Amino acid sequence: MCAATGPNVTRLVGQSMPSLEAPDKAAGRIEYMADLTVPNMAHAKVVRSPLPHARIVSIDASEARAMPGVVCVLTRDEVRADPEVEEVYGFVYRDAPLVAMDKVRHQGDIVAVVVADDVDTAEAAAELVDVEYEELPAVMNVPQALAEGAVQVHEEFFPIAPELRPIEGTNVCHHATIGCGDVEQGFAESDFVYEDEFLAPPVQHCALDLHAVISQVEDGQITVWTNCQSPFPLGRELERIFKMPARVIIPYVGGGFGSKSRDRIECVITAAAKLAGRPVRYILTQEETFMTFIRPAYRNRMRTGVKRDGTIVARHNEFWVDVGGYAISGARSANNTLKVATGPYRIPNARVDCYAVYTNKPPSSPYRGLPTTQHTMSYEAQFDRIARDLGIDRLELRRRNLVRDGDIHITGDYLRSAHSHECLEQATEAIGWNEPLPVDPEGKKLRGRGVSCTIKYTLTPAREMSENSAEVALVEDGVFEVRIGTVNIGQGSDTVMAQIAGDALSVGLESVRIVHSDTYRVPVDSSTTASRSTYHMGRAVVEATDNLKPQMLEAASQLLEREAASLVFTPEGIAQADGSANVTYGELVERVGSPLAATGDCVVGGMYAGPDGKSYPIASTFWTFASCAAEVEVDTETGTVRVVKAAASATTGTAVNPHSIETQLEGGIGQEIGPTLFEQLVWDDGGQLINAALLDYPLPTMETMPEYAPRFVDHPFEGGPFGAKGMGEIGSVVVPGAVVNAVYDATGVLFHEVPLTPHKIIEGLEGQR
Amino acid sequence: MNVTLTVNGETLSLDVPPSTTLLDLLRDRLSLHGTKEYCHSGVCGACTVLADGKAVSSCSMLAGQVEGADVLTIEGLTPDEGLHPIQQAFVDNFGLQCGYCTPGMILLAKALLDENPAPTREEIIRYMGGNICRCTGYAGILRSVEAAVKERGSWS
Amino acid sequence: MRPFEYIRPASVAEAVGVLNQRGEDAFVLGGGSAAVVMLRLGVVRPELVVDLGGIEEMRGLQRNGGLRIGALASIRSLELDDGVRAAYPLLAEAASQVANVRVRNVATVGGAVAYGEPQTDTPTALTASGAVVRIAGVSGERSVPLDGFYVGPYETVLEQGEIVAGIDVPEQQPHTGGAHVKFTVGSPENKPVANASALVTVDPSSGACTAARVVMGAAGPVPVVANVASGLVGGEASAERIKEVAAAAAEEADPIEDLRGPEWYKRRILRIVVERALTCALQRART
Repeated sequence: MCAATGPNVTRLVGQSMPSLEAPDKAAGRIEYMADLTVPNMAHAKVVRSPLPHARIVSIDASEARAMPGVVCVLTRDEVRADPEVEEVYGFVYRDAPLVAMDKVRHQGDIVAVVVADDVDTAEAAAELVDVEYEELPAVMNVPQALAEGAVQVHEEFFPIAPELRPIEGTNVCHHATIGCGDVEQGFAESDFVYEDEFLAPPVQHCALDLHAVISQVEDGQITVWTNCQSPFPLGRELERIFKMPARVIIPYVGGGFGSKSRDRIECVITAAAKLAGRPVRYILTQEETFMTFIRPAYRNRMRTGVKRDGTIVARHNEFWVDVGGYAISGARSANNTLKVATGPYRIPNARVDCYAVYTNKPPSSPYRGLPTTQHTMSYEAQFDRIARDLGIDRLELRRRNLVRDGDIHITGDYLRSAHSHECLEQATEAIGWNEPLPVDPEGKKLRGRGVSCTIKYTLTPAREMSENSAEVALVEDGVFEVRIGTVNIGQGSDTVMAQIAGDALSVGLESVRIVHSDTYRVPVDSSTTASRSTYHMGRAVVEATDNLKPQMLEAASQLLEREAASLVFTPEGIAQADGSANVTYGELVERVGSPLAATGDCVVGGMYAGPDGKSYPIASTFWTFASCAAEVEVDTETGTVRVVKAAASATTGTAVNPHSIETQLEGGIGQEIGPTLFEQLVWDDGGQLINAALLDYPLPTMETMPEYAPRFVDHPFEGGPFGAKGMGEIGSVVVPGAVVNAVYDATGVLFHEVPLTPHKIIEGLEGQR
Repeated sequence: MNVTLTVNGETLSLDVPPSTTLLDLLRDRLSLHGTKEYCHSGVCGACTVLADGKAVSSCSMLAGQVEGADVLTIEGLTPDEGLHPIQQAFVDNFGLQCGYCTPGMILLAKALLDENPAPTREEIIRYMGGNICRCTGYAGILRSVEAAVKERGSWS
Repeated sequence: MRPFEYIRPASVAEAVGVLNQRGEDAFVLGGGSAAVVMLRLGVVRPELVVDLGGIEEMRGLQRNGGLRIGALASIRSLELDDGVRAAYPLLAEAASQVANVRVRNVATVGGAVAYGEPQTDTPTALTASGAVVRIAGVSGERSVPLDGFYVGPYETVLEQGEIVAGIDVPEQQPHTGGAHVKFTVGSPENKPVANASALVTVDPSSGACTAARVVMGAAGPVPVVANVASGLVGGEASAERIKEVAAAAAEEADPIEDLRGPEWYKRRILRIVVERALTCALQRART
């Protein structure tokens, strides 16, 4: 057996290759949610609250029900009348009713679902549902929600995840702290103390593939097709709510960026399907996505104490995340980023307070690393202020404080693969940091460069456990079927898993087939979020192949009548080491008569045994470090900021598919240009979102694209599959900090709030004069 | 009402409600799912098709407006075997990730190259600037179109 | 989308006939790029949609002295037509900056004029060019200068049952230069913060300005004609003078705060786009 399980020669891992499904995508042949149909399917339209906060006095759906073509209308009455249905869902915070019960908590809150034979009928009938509201005072932002005597969005709290701790009698649905050292002592020892407050408004993810669901409840069995990023937790939640088995099937997904990470339509449409007695399809409109999940408003108040030489001594950091009307997603993501709020720096005395606050905005969800992005902007912007004030070079100040391998993070983690210095050097070099900046002869356009550094966590269980598994099976025709719960959302996961499986089995890509995201066909996975798949699923796939190999050897040994130990794996099959006998994988499975299959788990969490013999907690299975360096041009007449160049460098571990990593970094930078420069959701004084339509919500285009310079630091990460880590979010996380600092460099004005809209730039420039 | 039009080379006569958009007609009546929907307001370009050779947003046209038109969708661009050179350029140059904007991007690039076989980088950016992609940051798309321009001589 | 009846008349007479007959129940569809969105959102809920797209006599661009623009001519045709580019570069330049190429392929000049969105580029440029709107109704055709066609945002002098049949642009004097400048936040496809069109004629011997017209978009409820521009006439229109005129023009505007910026900022941008448009127009007039 030793010969068969020796180290693999890497052939696929490390190669740049287009995604396996790219040709089908280019041909328009890939089916997304909106392309799926189920026989006898009915169509739903949701009746949504026009008000941000109101008590529901009455709902009269009789006219809608009487309309020809209407199948049924689900309101709170139908939910209450079904004793087998739980009213409230949410798998980290159980605060979202299937449909509004006593009150609505945000504009667009779900009041009723109309099911009809076709979409147009459902839409027309939805207008006939007569809802009487008694308007309540609304808290539209965190300061209002925290004000003395503010109305409570929820009177009671139902956190499910054990780490979530509300403050009773307030709108704070979660408060937590993390710390190290003695902060007051640290400030006392500081030569200078800097205090700043940074702000970022909500934006929307704008994943083009609209969030959609088809739900079928038949013979005591739920089947749900959805483009949700968390199929298994959703399936468990459906089973809890409806008390029957649930299967969740995910097709290819056209982007999510966090907006599809949690359920908001699947459970309610399942309730509608149960009532209808027919499968029901529901597709959000683009405008409705803006009232379903958004990136939350963010505020960060930060005090930093430094020595005269720029060494950071103390930091107190309080941040507030506006989770909107329901904390089903926002509270935990806010909490998770406690781990990274102090950044990739050695800070001996630190304290971070996280507040997740209910308001009457739509619910919040993660957005490509949220709110690590905003943390990074905050501490990096303050860092440049400190550098300028102390007269220390910006890069030098970072070099003096950046973590290194073996440092102990604020979480108590023993940092490994912490190549933060390399990222900084690589990113700055990539944009030509030391080259002279172009000078506008007319003096109207100012150029500047900025840099930012970050540390990013991945979802990690509190105790040692496996949150995901993979199954690898040798099936007909000698193909290895790799069954994974990872959602293919455009990140190239099928390709990466095929590369990993191929190398683990020493076979070519043509011998690997990926089966993904059907909870009845693949083993459990927690979610496709937090840049976790390459590492976690990759490890599970490797382990599954390790578990499959002895089975194959045993079968081959019987067939060939040779000692298993004398056999070796070849790309085509299993052979006697001396070449005297062999069996192809196709023959093997045919002669065995049934597929050979094995599963593998990725066990994470628990404690890390440091090289010093001590035991360290693992707050994040791996940490990703990154830097962004950006060059901007500021038009002092119009206030326009243009990002001319942007480089990002990230620690990826082994680069499984290098060019795919580069394009992920480009995509992350390009996406975050929007919230950095011009994207922002706007509410009027009446609590109405006024730019929910794309016509009024401009996104980055090819015209706003900077020149990219994606880089990575690919030292293999111990424990990762072939040494790989995850990196799907890191490109965007570092952008606002670098751009804010580049504008600071260009203009001498440090902006404390994004987006850097032209009129804010002008205000800043004129305020300075 | 009745609409007669040519879709991907085939002339069809269809009975549709007047409120049917070209997008509805393609997706729901003809099951040509390669044409995608997002903003439904002519902004994002996911629903781009070519009508009489011109790039249009199929979401913002009623079926009646394409009476007699010659419509090309991504299905019609794709040859029976393999891919059209522009499609191949998008695959080879990582011009796509989730793939949702891709059919519209490829058809827009086709319209560009039909109008202007040798566009400069600035011309490509100006022309393609209207279509939204959320994954790639557009760099891969620009590389793909530039690669297709280079190959332009080799296909008709 | 809510159901409606649909007709595609073949002539102007047929179109205005049915519009007159059906009154407020009917809704006019030009290219559809704005109208179909309004139908989808339920902003309008007509019983009947009258699609003008089949009216042959409303198509095309004709040059005979001036420029006769059929209402159905696409924005894109204005952008690309060689004759327009040569004789009316201001119009081609403005057309090329409208939204994205998909919209420009479909949206019609008549539709852009009739829709009356105060920030669209085409009406700004047409107003600066001295365009006259040909309006068709059951009792025949009437003409209204575009400067005077708009009553308020999305509001025109069109009476119930009337349609825009075409737009006539007078011939430009020799030694005339025009320019259109649009300013957006983010991508140039976005709605403008402000735009400005300038049309300037010079005396080639003296270089003095003999006529100057400036119109600003997103500057008020309707395209705003900057009266101050006439002050350039008779002088040499120096850079300094243009700056002064631009600053005064911005004060004539009445912009509102919206998603694209506060009032003071829009005024600042108006000053900049007017200055840039005038500078460019003057340069073109002199070459």
